[in-house]
Amino acid sequence: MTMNLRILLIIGSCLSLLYIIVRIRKADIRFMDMFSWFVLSLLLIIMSLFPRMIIVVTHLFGFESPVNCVFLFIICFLIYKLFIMSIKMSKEKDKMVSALEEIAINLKELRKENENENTVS
Amino acid sequence: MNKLLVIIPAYNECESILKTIEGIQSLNSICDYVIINDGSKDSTRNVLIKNNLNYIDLPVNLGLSAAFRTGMKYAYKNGYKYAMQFDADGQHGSEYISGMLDLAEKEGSDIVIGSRYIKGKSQKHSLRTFGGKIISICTKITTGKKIYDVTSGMRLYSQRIIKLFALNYNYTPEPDTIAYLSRCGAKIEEFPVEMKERMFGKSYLGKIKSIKYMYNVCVSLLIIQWFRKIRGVL
Repeated sequence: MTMNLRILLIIGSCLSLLYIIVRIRKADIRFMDMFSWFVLSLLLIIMSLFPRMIIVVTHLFGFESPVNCVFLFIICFLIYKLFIMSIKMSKEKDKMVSALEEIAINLKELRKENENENTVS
Repeated sequence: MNKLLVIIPAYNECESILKTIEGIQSLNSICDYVIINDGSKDSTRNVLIKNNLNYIDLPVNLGLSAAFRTGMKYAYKNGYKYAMQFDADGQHGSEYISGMLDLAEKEGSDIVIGSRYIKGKSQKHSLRTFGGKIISICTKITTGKKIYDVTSGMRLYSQRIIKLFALNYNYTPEPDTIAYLSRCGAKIEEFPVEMKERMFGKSYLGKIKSIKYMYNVCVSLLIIQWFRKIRGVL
Protein backbone atom coordinates (compact mmCIF):
# COMPACT_ATOMS: atom_id res chain seq x y z
CA MET A 1 0.00 0.00 0.00
CA THR A 2 1.39 3.40 -0.88
CA MET A 3 2.01 5.97 1.84
CA ASN A 4 -0.49 8.39 0.26
CA LEU A 5 -3.24 5.78 0.37
CA ARG A 6 -2.52 4.94 3.99
CA ILE A 7 -2.66 8.59 5.00
CA LEU A 8 -5.92 9.03 3.07
CA LEU A 9 -7.49 6.05 4.83
CA ILE A 10 -6.33 7.15 8.28
CA ILE A 11 -7.60 10.70 7.82
CA GLY A 12 -10.85 9.49 6.25
CA SER A 13 -11.65 7.05 9.05
CA CYS A 14 -10.78 9.64 11.74
CA LEU A 15 -13.02 12.21 10.08
CA SER A 16 -15.89 9.74 9.86
CA LEU A 17 -15.56 8.89 13.56
CA LEU A 18 -15.55 12.59 14.41
CA TYR A 19 -18.59 13.18 12.23
CA ILE A 20 -20.53 10.36 13.87
CA ILE A 21 -19.69 11.65 17.35
CA VAL A 22 -20.71 15.22 16.49
CA ARG A 23 -24.02 14.10 14.92
CA ILE A 24 -24.87 11.91 17.91
CA ARG A 25 -24.24 14.76 20.31
CA LYS A 26 -26.15 17.25 18.21
CA ALA A 27 -29.19 15.04 17.72
CA ASP A 28 -29.14 14.04 21.39
CA ILE A 29 -30.08 10.59 20.16
CA ARG A 30 -30.00 7.39 22.17
CA PHE A 31 -26.41 6.23 21.82
CA MET A 32 -27.25 2.52 21.80
CA ASP A 33 -29.17 3.01 18.55
CA MET A 34 -25.99 4.34 16.93
CA PHE A 35 -23.69 1.88 18.61
CA SER A 36 -22.89 -0.27 15.56
CA TRP A 37 -21.96 2.79 13.49
CA PHE A 38 -19.63 3.94 16.23
CA VAL A 39 -18.00 0.50 16.38
CA LEU A 40 -17.65 0.40 12.58
CA SER A 41 -15.85 3.73 12.46
CA LEU A 42 -13.52 2.60 15.27
CA LEU A 43 -12.76 -0.59 13.34
CA LEU A 44 -12.02 1.43 10.20
CA ILE A 45 -9.49 3.52 12.12
CA ILE A 46 -7.85 0.41 13.53
CA MET A 47 -7.70 -1.20 10.09
CA SER A 48 -6.17 1.89 8.53
CA LEU A 49 -3.54 2.14 11.30
CA PHE A 50 -2.66 -1.56 11.27
CA PRO A 51 -2.98 -2.90 7.71
CA ARG A 52 -0.91 -5.95 8.74
CA MET A 53 -4.09 -7.41 10.24
CA ILE A 54 -5.83 -7.30 6.87
CA ILE A 55 -2.84 -8.85 5.07
CA VAL A 56 -2.84 -11.76 7.53
CA VAL A 57 -6.53 -12.43 6.91
CA THR A 58 -6.04 -12.06 3.14
CA HIS A 59 -3.43 -14.80 3.08
CA LEU A 60 -5.42 -16.96 5.47
CA PHE A 61 -8.48 -17.07 3.22
CA GLY A 62 -6.79 -16.52 -0.15
CA PHE A 63 -8.30 -13.20 -1.17
CA GLU A 64 -6.78 -11.84 -4.35
CA SER A 65 -5.95 -8.55 -2.70
CA PRO A 66 -6.29 -7.08 0.81
CA VAL A 67 -8.77 -4.48 -0.34
CA ASN A 68 -11.18 -7.27 -1.39
CA CYS A 69 -11.12 -8.49 2.19
CA VAL A 70 -12.02 -5.04 3.49
CA PHE A 71 -14.81 -4.70 0.90
CA LEU A 72 -16.27 -8.04 1.91
CA PHE A 73 -16.20 -7.09 5.57
CA ILE A 74 -17.93 -3.77 4.95
CA ILE A 75 -20.50 -5.32 2.59
CA CYS A 76 -21.34 -8.00 5.15
CA PHE A 77 -21.76 -5.33 7.80
CA LEU A 78 -24.07 -3.29 5.57
CA ILE A 79 -26.19 -6.30 4.62
CA TYR A 80 -26.55 -7.19 8.30
CA LYS A 81 -27.44 -3.60 9.26
CA LEU A 82 -30.02 -3.34 6.48
CA PHE A 83 -31.59 -6.63 7.46
CA ILE A 84 -31.88 -5.62 11.10
CA MET A 85 -33.32 -2.26 10.13
CA SER A 86 -35.90 -3.93 7.88
CA ILE A 87 -37.04 -6.05 10.80
CA LYS A 88 -37.19 -3.03 13.11
CA MET A 89 -39.11 -0.97 10.58
CA SER A 90 -41.64 -3.72 10.06
CA LYS A 91 -42.17 -4.05 13.80
CA GLU A 92 -42.53 -0.29 14.23
CA LYS A 93 -45.10 -0.16 11.44
CA ASP A 94 -47.11 -2.90 13.11
CA LYS A 95 -46.97 -1.04 16.42
CA MET A 96 -48.06 2.23 14.88
CA VAL A 97 -50.96 0.67 12.98
CA SER A 98 -52.05 -1.17 16.12
CA ALA A 99 -51.92 2.06 18.14
CA LEU A 100 -53.98 3.92 15.54
CA GLU A 101 -56.59 1.14 15.56
CA GLU A 102 -56.85 1.41 19.35
CA ILE A 103 -57.16 5.18 19.16
CA ALA A 104 -59.97 4.87 16.60
CA ILE A 105 -61.87 2.46 18.85
CA ASN A 106 -61.34 4.68 21.89
CA LEU A 107 -62.62 7.71 19.98
CA LYS A 108 -65.77 5.78 19.05
CA GLU A 109 -66.32 4.82 22.68
CA LEU A 110 -65.87 8.44 23.73
CA ARG A 111 -68.39 9.58 21.12
CA LYS A 112 -70.88 6.97 22.30
CA GLU A 113 -70.45 8.16 25.90
CA ASN A 114 -70.95 11.78 24.83
CA GLU A 115 -74.11 10.88 22.93
CA ASN A 116 -75.46 8.99 25.95
CA GLU A 117 -74.74 11.97 28.20
CA ASN A 118 -76.44 14.34 25.75
CA THR A 119 -79.55 12.18 25.43
CA VAL A 120 -79.74 11.76 29.21
CA SER A 121 -79.40 15.48 29.92
CA MET B 1 -54.48 17.79 44.58
CA ASN B 2 -51.35 16.63 46.39
CA LYS B 3 -47.75 17.63 45.73
CA LEU B 4 -46.61 14.15 44.81
CA LEU B 5 -47.77 11.90 41.98
CA VAL B 6 -46.90 8.21 42.22
CA ILE B 7 -46.47 6.77 38.73
CA ILE B 8 -47.09 3.03 38.46
CA PRO B 9 -46.25 1.53 35.06
CA ALA B 10 -48.04 -1.82 34.72
CA TYR B 11 -47.71 -4.54 32.11
CA ASN B 12 -49.70 -7.71 32.72
CA GLU B 13 -49.93 -7.14 36.47
CA CYS B 14 -53.56 -8.10 37.03
CA GLU B 15 -52.63 -10.28 40.01
CA SER B 16 -50.53 -7.81 41.99
CA ILE B 17 -51.90 -4.40 41.05
CA LEU B 18 -54.71 -4.38 43.65
CA LYS B 19 -52.46 -5.21 46.55
CA THR B 20 -49.90 -2.64 45.37
CA ILE B 21 -52.47 0.13 45.04
CA GLU B 22 -53.95 -0.54 48.50
CA GLY B 23 -50.82 0.77 50.20
CA ILE B 24 -50.75 3.86 48.00
CA GLN B 25 -54.44 4.67 48.40
CA SER B 26 -53.96 4.72 52.17
CA LEU B 27 -51.55 7.62 51.64
CA ASN B 28 -54.09 9.78 49.84
CA SER B 29 -53.32 12.74 52.08
CA ILE B 30 -49.72 12.76 50.86
CA CYS B 31 -49.80 11.62 47.26
CA ASP B 32 -51.95 11.03 44.20
CA TYR B 33 -51.31 8.13 41.88
CA VAL B 34 -51.72 7.14 38.26
CA ILE B 35 -51.40 3.63 36.84
CA ILE B 36 -50.03 3.43 33.32
CA ASN B 37 -51.45 0.36 31.60
CA ASP B 38 -48.74 -0.45 29.06
CA GLY B 39 -50.90 -2.37 26.59
CA SER B 40 -51.46 -5.27 28.96
CA LYS B 41 -52.81 -8.39 27.29
CA ASP B 42 -54.27 -9.90 30.45
CA SER B 43 -57.16 -8.62 32.56
CA THR B 44 -55.20 -5.69 34.05
CA ARG B 45 -57.45 -3.16 32.36
CA ASN B 46 -60.62 -4.82 33.65
CA VAL B 47 -59.19 -4.80 37.17
CA LEU B 48 -58.44 -1.08 36.87
CA ILE B 49 -61.93 -0.25 35.58
CA LYS B 50 -63.79 -2.48 38.03
CA ASN B 51 -62.04 -0.93 41.04
CA ASN B 52 -62.38 2.64 39.80
CA LEU B 53 -58.63 3.25 39.80
CA ASN B 54 -56.95 6.27 38.24
CA TYR B 55 -55.25 4.96 35.11
CA ILE B 56 -53.99 5.80 31.64
CA ASP B 57 -54.25 3.29 28.81
CA LEU B 58 -51.41 3.10 26.31
CA PRO B 59 -52.77 1.87 22.94
CA VAL B 60 -49.87 -0.57 22.47
CA ASN B 61 -47.03 -1.91 24.61
CA LEU B 62 -44.33 0.75 24.48
CA GLY B 63 -41.96 -0.40 27.22
CA LEU B 64 -41.06 0.91 30.65
CA SER B 65 -39.37 4.13 29.51
CA ALA B 66 -42.34 5.25 27.43
CA ALA B 67 -44.86 4.21 30.09
CA PHE B 68 -42.96 6.13 32.72
CA ARG B 69 -42.62 9.15 30.48
CA THR B 70 -46.38 9.10 29.93
CA GLY B 71 -46.72 9.41 33.70
CA MET B 72 -44.22 12.28 33.74
CA LYS B 73 -46.15 14.08 31.00
CA TYR B 74 -49.32 13.64 33.06
CA ALA B 75 -47.49 14.99 36.13
CA TYR B 76 -46.18 17.97 34.16
CA LYS B 77 -49.57 18.78 32.61
CA ASN B 78 -51.19 18.72 36.04
CA GLY B 79 -48.48 20.73 37.75
CA TYR B 80 -47.27 18.21 40.30
CA LYS B 81 -44.23 19.28 42.35
CA TYR B 82 -42.86 15.74 42.70
CA ALA B 83 -43.28 12.51 40.79
CA MET B 84 -42.26 9.06 41.93
CA GLN B 85 -41.60 5.85 40.06
CA PHE B 86 -43.20 2.83 41.73
CA ASP B 87 -43.39 -0.80 40.63
CA ALA B 88 -46.73 -2.51 40.13
CA ASP B 89 -45.48 -5.96 41.13
CA GLY B 90 -45.37 -5.40 44.88
CA GLN B 91 -41.58 -5.22 45.25
CA HIS B 92 -41.63 -1.60 46.42
CA GLY B 93 -42.95 -0.58 49.81
CA SER B 94 -45.37 2.32 50.08
CA GLU B 95 -44.26 2.88 53.68
CA TYR B 96 -41.16 4.68 52.44
CA ILE B 97 -42.98 7.21 50.26
CA SER B 98 -43.53 9.88 52.90
CA GLY B 99 -39.93 9.53 54.13
CA MET B 100 -38.59 10.04 50.61
CA LEU B 101 -40.88 13.04 50.08
CA ASP B 102 -39.76 14.62 53.37
CA LEU B 103 -36.10 14.14 52.43
CA ALA B 104 -36.68 15.73 49.02
CA GLU B 105 -38.42 18.75 50.54
CA LYS B 106 -35.87 19.18 53.32
CA GLU B 107 -32.77 18.91 51.14
CA GLY B 108 -34.23 20.46 47.99
CA SER B 109 -33.14 17.35 46.11
CA ASP B 110 -33.83 16.76 42.46
CA ILE B 111 -33.78 12.98 42.75
CA VAL B 112 -34.30 10.78 45.82
CA ILE B 113 -33.40 7.14 45.20
CA GLY B 114 -34.91 4.39 47.34
CA SER B 115 -31.67 2.58 48.01
CA ARG B 116 -31.35 -1.09 48.97
CA TYR B 117 -27.61 -1.05 49.60
CA ILE B 118 -27.11 2.04 51.68
CA LYS B 119 -25.36 2.23 55.08
CA GLY B 120 -23.42 -0.99 54.58
CA LYS B 121 -26.48 -3.19 54.90
CA SER B 122 -25.29 -6.73 54.27
CA GLN B 123 -27.30 -8.14 51.43
CA LYS B 124 -27.70 -11.72 50.32
CA HIS B 125 -25.07 -12.00 47.58
CA SER B 126 -26.49 -12.81 44.20
CA LEU B 127 -25.93 -11.97 40.59
CA ARG B 128 -28.15 -8.95 41.05
CA THR B 129 -26.22 -7.43 43.99
CA PHE B 130 -22.89 -8.17 42.32
CA GLY B 131 -24.12 -6.50 39.15
CA GLY B 132 -25.42 -3.60 41.22
CA LYS B 133 -21.97 -3.14 42.75
CA ILE B 134 -20.26 -3.08 39.34
CA ILE B 135 -22.77 -0.53 38.10
CA SER B 136 -22.15 1.61 41.21
CA ILE B 137 -18.41 1.59 40.51
CA CYS B 138 -19.04 2.71 36.93
CA THR B 139 -21.26 5.50 38.26
CA LYS B 140 -18.53 6.66 40.62
CA ILE B 141 -16.04 6.73 37.74
CA THR B 142 -18.25 8.79 35.46
CA THR B 143 -19.90 11.17 37.89
CA GLY B 144 -17.49 11.27 40.82
CA LYS B 145 -20.45 10.62 43.07
CA LYS B 146 -20.98 7.42 45.02
CA ILE B 147 -24.50 6.21 44.45
CA TYR B 148 -25.18 2.97 46.28
CA ASP B 149 -28.20 1.76 44.39
CA VAL B 150 -28.28 3.25 40.94
CA THR B 151 -30.61 0.66 39.37
CA SER B 152 -33.33 0.98 42.00
CA GLY B 153 -36.68 1.55 40.33
CA MET B 154 -38.01 3.51 43.28
CA ARG B 155 -37.09 7.10 42.54
CA LEU B 156 -38.63 10.44 43.40
CA TYR B 157 -38.12 13.33 40.98
CA SER B 158 -38.47 17.07 41.51
CA GLN B 159 -40.45 19.46 39.34
CA ARG B 160 -37.59 20.51 37.12
CA ILE B 161 -36.71 16.88 36.38
CA ILE B 162 -40.38 16.21 35.61
CA LYS B 163 -40.25 18.98 33.02
CA LEU B 164 -37.10 17.50 31.42
CA PHE B 165 -38.67 14.07 31.12
CA ALA B 166 -41.98 15.38 29.81
CA LEU B 167 -40.59 17.66 27.12
CA ASN B 168 -37.56 15.73 25.81
CA TYR B 169 -36.77 12.38 24.21
CA ASN B 170 -33.57 11.05 25.64
CA TYR B 171 -34.55 10.76 29.32
CA THR B 172 -35.32 7.30 30.63
CA PRO B 173 -35.75 5.82 34.12
CA GLU B 174 -32.36 4.11 33.71
CA PRO B 175 -29.02 4.47 35.53
CA ASP B 176 -27.27 6.29 32.70
CA THR B 177 -29.86 9.05 32.80
CA ILE B 178 -29.27 9.37 36.55
CA ALA B 179 -25.52 9.65 35.95
CA TYR B 180 -26.09 12.20 33.19
CA LEU B 181 -28.40 14.30 35.37
CA SER B 182 -25.83 14.16 38.17
CA ARG B 183 -23.24 15.58 35.80
CA CYS B 184 -25.73 18.27 34.78
CA GLY B 185 -25.90 19.39 38.39
CA ALA B 186 -28.92 17.53 39.73
CA LYS B 187 -28.95 17.07 43.51
CA ILE B 188 -29.25 13.35 44.24
CA GLU B 189 -30.02 11.84 47.65
CA GLU B 190 -30.56 8.25 48.75
CA PHE B 191 -33.12 6.94 51.22
CA PRO B 192 -32.76 3.47 52.75
CA VAL B 193 -35.52 1.06 51.72
CA GLU B 194 -36.11 -2.64 51.62
CA MET B 195 -37.68 -4.34 48.66
CA LYS B 196 -39.64 -7.56 48.60
CA GLU B 197 -39.56 -10.34 46.05
CA ARG B 198 -42.07 -10.32 43.21
CA MET B 199 -45.53 -11.45 44.28
CA PHE B 200 -46.67 -13.06 41.05
CA GLY B 201 -45.69 -13.56 37.48
CA LYS B 202 -42.50 -13.29 35.46
CA SER B 203 -39.85 -10.73 36.19
CA TYR B 204 -39.11 -8.07 33.64
CA LEU B 205 -35.63 -9.58 33.19
CA GLY B 206 -34.57 -13.24 32.89
CA LYS B 207 -31.00 -14.39 33.69
CA ILE B 208 -29.38 -13.85 30.29
CA LYS B 209 -31.35 -10.67 29.86
CA SER B 210 -30.05 -9.52 33.27
CA ILE B 211 -26.45 -9.91 32.13
CA LYS B 212 -27.20 -8.13 28.88
CA TYR B 213 -28.89 -5.37 30.87
CA MET B 214 -25.87 -5.01 33.17
CA TYR B 215 -23.54 -4.87 30.18
CA ASN B 216 -25.71 -2.22 28.48
CA VAL B 217 -25.83 -0.14 31.65
CA CYS B 218 -22.05 -0.27 32.16
CA VAL B 219 -21.39 0.62 28.53
CA SER B 220 -23.84 3.48 28.69
CA LEU B 221 -22.37 4.76 31.95
CA LEU B 222 -18.74 4.51 30.86
CA ILE B 223 -19.02 5.49 27.21
CA ILE B 224 -22.29 7.22 26.39
CA GLN B 225 -21.79 9.99 28.92
CA TRP B 226 -19.13 11.50 26.73
CA PHE B 227 -21.62 11.77 23.88
CA ARG B 228 -24.21 13.81 25.72
CA LYS B 229 -23.79 17.54 25.90
CA ILE B 230 -23.94 18.74 29.49
CA ARG B 231 -26.88 21.08 29.41
CA GLY B 232 -27.34 23.80 31.96
CA VAL B 233 -31.06 23.20 31.85
CA LEU B 234 -31.27 22.67 35.57
